[in-house]
Amino acid sequence: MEQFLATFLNINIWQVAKVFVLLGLGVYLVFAFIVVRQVRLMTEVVSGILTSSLRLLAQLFFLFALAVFIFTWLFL
Amino acid sequence: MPELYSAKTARKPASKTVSSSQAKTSNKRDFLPHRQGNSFSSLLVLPSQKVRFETQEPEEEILMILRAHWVTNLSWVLTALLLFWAPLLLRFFPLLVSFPTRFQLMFVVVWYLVLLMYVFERFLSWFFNLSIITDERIVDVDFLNLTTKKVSDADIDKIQDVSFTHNGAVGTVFNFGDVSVQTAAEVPEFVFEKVPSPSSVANILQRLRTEEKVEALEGRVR
Repeated sequence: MEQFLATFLNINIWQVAKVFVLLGLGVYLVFAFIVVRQVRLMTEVVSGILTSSLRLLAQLFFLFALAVFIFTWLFL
Repeated sequence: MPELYSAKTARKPASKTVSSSQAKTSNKRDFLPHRQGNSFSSLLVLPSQKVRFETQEPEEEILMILRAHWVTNLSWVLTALLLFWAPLLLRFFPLLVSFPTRFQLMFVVVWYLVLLMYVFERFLSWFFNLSIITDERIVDVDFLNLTTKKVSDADIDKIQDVSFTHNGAVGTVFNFGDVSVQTAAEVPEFVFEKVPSPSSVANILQRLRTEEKVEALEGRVR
């Protein structure tokens, strides 16, 4: 019991904060993936207006979110 | 014998059955404005052949593509600009000073990520909320949010009533408003929200409806 309490009390608060930040960024990453899919679907509904540019933009958005997630995981 | 008369008799008699596309090509549609608009325009008239929508039929021609007037974007653009500069306030109000430096940096990064998400979502919402008027029907594409879209259409000959309103002082100044189309189709009402020149759009829809009626009378219905 004491050992458990000691372990619990010795938890680094910033490590816990990091986990929460990563969780938030994970949700963001899922959101970015949904954006990529949705942009693809919408450019299929109406094609010929900036189709490739918008798809590229959505993919860059996803890659950026992924890069931030990895950067946070490694360096925070 | 006058040349004009002989020229008439020399011609082959016109076929009684005129195809719909031929008839439409011959019809100049002088009520339509000139070809105009680009990818970011609120009003595209007679866009290029490359522009197509999912359920478009081979002979169907897009006459107009409408979006909300660009002025309607000003509110979120200004909000985004304010939010962009907001982290500078931390210089004057050091709220994060008790956090380690790396977490302070992370806060700023997350702030801009959320801002990016906001701007991208609002842009896509404006860009893909389209109303398409073809020579055969009206199509309403609603991008409700990032996970929900709705596409509905109604034939021109199903249109029963077209009305329009200007939205407030800004709508009057910049000439945009809502065009409401009552139909006998499955979707009873289409609303083209905050589109530019609503009176012209309503007029064009009325003219197209008349054109469809004439075609039906002449037996040229596709």
